[in-house]
Amino acid sequence: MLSANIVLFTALAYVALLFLVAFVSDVRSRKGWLGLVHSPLVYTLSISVYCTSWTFYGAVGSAARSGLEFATIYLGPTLVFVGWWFLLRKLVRIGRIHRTSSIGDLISSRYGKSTSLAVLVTLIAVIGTTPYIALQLKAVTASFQVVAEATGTSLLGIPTRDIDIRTGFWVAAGMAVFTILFGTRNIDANEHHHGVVAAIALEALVKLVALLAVGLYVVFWIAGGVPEVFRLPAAATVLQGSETFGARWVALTFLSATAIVCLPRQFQITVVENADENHLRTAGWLFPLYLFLISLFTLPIAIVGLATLPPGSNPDMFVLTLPMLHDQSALALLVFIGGFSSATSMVIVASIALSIMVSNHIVMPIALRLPRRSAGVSGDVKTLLLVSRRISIGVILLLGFAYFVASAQSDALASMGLIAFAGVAQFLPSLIGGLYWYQASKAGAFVGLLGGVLVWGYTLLLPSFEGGSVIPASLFQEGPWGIADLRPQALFGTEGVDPLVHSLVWSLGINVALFVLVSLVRDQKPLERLQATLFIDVFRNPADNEARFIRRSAAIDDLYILAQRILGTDQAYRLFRDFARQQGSRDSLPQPDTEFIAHLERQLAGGIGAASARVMVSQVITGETISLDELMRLVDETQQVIEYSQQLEHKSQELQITARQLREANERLRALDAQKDDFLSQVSHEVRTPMASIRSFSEILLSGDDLTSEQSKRFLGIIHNETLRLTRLLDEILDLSHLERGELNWSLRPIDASAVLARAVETCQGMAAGVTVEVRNDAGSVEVLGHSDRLAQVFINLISNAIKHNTGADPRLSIHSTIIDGRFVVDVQDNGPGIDPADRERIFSKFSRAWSTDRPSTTGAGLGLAISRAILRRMNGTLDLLPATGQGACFRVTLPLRQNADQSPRAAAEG
Amino acid sequence: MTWKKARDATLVLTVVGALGLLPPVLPFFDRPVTVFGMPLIVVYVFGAWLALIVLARWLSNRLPRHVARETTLGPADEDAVSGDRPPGGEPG
Amino acid sequence: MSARVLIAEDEPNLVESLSFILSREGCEVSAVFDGESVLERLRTERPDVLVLDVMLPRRTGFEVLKLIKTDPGLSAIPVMVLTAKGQERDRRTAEDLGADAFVTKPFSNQDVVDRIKRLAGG
Repeated sequence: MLSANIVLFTALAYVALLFLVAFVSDVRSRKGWLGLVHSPLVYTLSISVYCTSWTFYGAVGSAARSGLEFATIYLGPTLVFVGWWFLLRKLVRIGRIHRTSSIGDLISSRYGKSTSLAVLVTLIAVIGTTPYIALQLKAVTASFQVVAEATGTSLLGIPTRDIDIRTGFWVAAGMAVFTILFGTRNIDANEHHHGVVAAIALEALVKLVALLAVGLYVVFWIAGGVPEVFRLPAAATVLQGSETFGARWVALTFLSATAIVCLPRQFQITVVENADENHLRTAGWLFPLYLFLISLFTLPIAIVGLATLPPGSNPDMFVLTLPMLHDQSALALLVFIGGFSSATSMVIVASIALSIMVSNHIVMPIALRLPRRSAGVSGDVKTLLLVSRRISIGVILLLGFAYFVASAQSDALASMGLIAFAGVAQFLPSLIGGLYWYQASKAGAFVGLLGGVLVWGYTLLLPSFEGGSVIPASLFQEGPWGIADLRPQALFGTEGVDPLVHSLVWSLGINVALFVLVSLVRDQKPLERLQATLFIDVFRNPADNEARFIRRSAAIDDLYILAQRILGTDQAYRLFRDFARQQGSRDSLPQPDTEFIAHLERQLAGGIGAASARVMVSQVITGETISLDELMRLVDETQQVIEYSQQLEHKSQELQITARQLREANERLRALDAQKDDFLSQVSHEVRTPMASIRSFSEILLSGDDLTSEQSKRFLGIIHNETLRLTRLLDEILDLSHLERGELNWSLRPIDASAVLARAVETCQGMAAGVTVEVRNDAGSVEVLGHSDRLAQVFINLISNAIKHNTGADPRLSIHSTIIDGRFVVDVQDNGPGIDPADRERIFSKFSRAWSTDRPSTTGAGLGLAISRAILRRMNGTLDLLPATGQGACFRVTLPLRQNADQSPRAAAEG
Repeated sequence: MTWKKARDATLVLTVVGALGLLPPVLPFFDRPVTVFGMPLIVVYVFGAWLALIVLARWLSNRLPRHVARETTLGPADEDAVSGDRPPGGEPG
Repeated sequence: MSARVLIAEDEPNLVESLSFILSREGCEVSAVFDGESVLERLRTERPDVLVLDVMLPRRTGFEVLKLIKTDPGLSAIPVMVLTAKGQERDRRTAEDLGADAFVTKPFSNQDVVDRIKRLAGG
């Protein structure tokens, strides 16, 4: 059995240890030996200030009542920390660059360094936190009485006597002393409290060890193993709640995830006290692991407690009463110290965070508005701040104590943890919107926050006083003035919903709606716009960019006096000297340019908050302009960068496709180029051959006197023929070129193709001496779209080729026309030597003479078939060499009949 | 694994973790089955939780470290910067 | 000079002009009109100089040249290649195959006579 004295002595000794740890850490860090204090481990442990006595004792109580539901309080923060890269990293970066001193400061700074917003956030934080502090005081007092009495009902976890408020008072007083000593020693440019953080980290370890020890004891000593625990009948009762995984589960997970960011003490530890962004990398998995370990035995303790402790025991005290029941005094004492740790660490950090907010956002603005009594004295603002912080801490703890006294005999405090969570959750829309939405405006944030908090107060905070004398019960049953739609826990007929879910949905819903709507309606001021860009694009724009948009000037003396008033002489001197060096000046005073003023304001903001720093700096500023153009450009630039990087990946794929297309086009061009070379070479050959004759005979004629007139005449005749041949050749080349390019001066008209064929045959009769020509027309008169002279040219070409190349003994030629499948078909068949299958396609190319065994001068230049094919193509017809069937070659011409041709789109377009 | 992939994997892990620990999935495991003497739902919640932690640790080393490059630090911060951090860029 | 010259050329007008100028110089000229005929003719008679057009029907001048120059019995016959293409590539092909002279159309009568005289005399 533990006597009250032993418990008291242990507690005092533990407190002394905390003082010592805090003191040593503070001294060491002041000398620059950061060591262990400046480590990711200590950072992570200090974040576990999240686990207050409410979770230390209450989690088991929650598990006993609602099964696994207690886990939601840890799962939310786990998810936020696992995703640290996305939200926490941004918060910490902004906090460091803008010297953010609290969550109120961050929100106020984001929305144009607004004082009113800072005041509102501070008030909400105080309203939400004070009862929470009271809850801690009550937990310490109750646990002290339970562990120290160990008689009567105390083994049930219920103190025998009334709650002793004196214990609560001394706890509050002790915490105030500790917090004032280590939390307000100085106004740093960055609000780092190394001593406090070290003490909190130690308390975090104690909490964890205590819970693990009692958990191991309960599971393996009392129950005899994990399966044994779950075999207890109580396990089934605890886990049976089928409603566990409903809306309340979602709401609680969301709420706890929100709280780990929005609770002022969490913001203080995670963002303000963060000394190195890389510590987040460790905290990202180590803090979830801490939460995992601390809740590992919650369920078993609850089950075993329900199973072994007498009925009517208080589940919230199972952690303490289980060891006591088994006479494990030392373990009980350790548990008490663990609970004491969780309560005190919360109280200390919460009161520091609140005192900073109160002094920076409420006291300072008031002081700044009061008429100056005298010219500023060095350090006077600093003194004012320190004093106001110390007083704030006292007042906050006094408020908490008063709340504790007022509600000591009721259960109103039990639900205070979640109510506080829901209260600070109202910060979430403004915070997240401020970090990711450029258009989020101060007016929107203010109205949303105010609306959300009013709804929260009405639907959640107010009902927590139900049963007291202040608020009539009729309000909850009938609604104010009997309006049922306004009942606090059933707004507009939303009955039967869990009160927490009900309040959360309504308050956050109204908060978000107002925030978004007002932001969209009300325009931002230039400073808001600038801060929005600096916050949202914090990873792209260092805050030094601020100087790009705000042009300010001031007398360096005024600035120095200002800095001295806030930072004190030494720190102000160092600040000015360092910046002067950075500017490259040997003087100890820097140039008071825009950049320096921005730097100074950020440093001051670390001490007094962004809003007050801006007000103070503005008092000594002689000129200020905000360059909106620059601001717009910055917004454009950053958005362009995002778009570009997205487009870039898309573009590189496009480029690959384009490159392939270019390669293909290049290959085609090369082929065309080779064809062109080939063509020119052919043309050259075809021109040079007649030229050679002409030159040779001309030289003969020029040189020879001994020529007979007959010879001269003959040679001149040859020359004349060759020039005609040259002319013909050039005409053909031009003709073909025009045909291929589609530049023709003839159009398609309805013509009788049979008649054209007959005329062509007639024309060729002259040269067909000795050749048997057989003509058969099965088509009759046919109408096609074409040009009669050109079509005749094709037929003449084919017939004359067939005659000229037919070197057989009995040359025959058969011309047969018919209609097949709506096309006019003409076959020109000879019984000559035929065409080598290898040359079938080549004969249609230019200058081909593959089939020519005859002397070339009697034929054209080999362009005839190419021209014929081009002409027919123009008339939508074809020219092909039919596969060899026996002797000779057979060329086939086909042309669409007119009614068919009309349907062809090409003919329609050209006709 | 590039840091961009690690970043995306972190996002996926967070989202999947959240979905896996919310009602649509949880009741699926809430059935009278025991694993090593423990109810399935308990094993699932704590198992998923631990898996999240392990994966988060694995990924955290693949995300880029932050290297302070501010030039306008006060004297107190210079100590903080002169740590033994490895060099590396800070992707925006 | 009474060299025997064989002309392989498919353009009748050129055969006539070459025959005329060479006969005037005292040469004994005969002509064939395609590649195959050249080889047939060489089996029966052996000219002092062969004038060979590149673009011949049935067998190109280059094929004929190659056959002549790789045949030990014929390779001594001097060959003057005539071409209307006049490209550097053809000239090189001809030289590689062992042509003794290369003339592009249109040619100068005097030039052809001089070359043939030189080839016949060598």
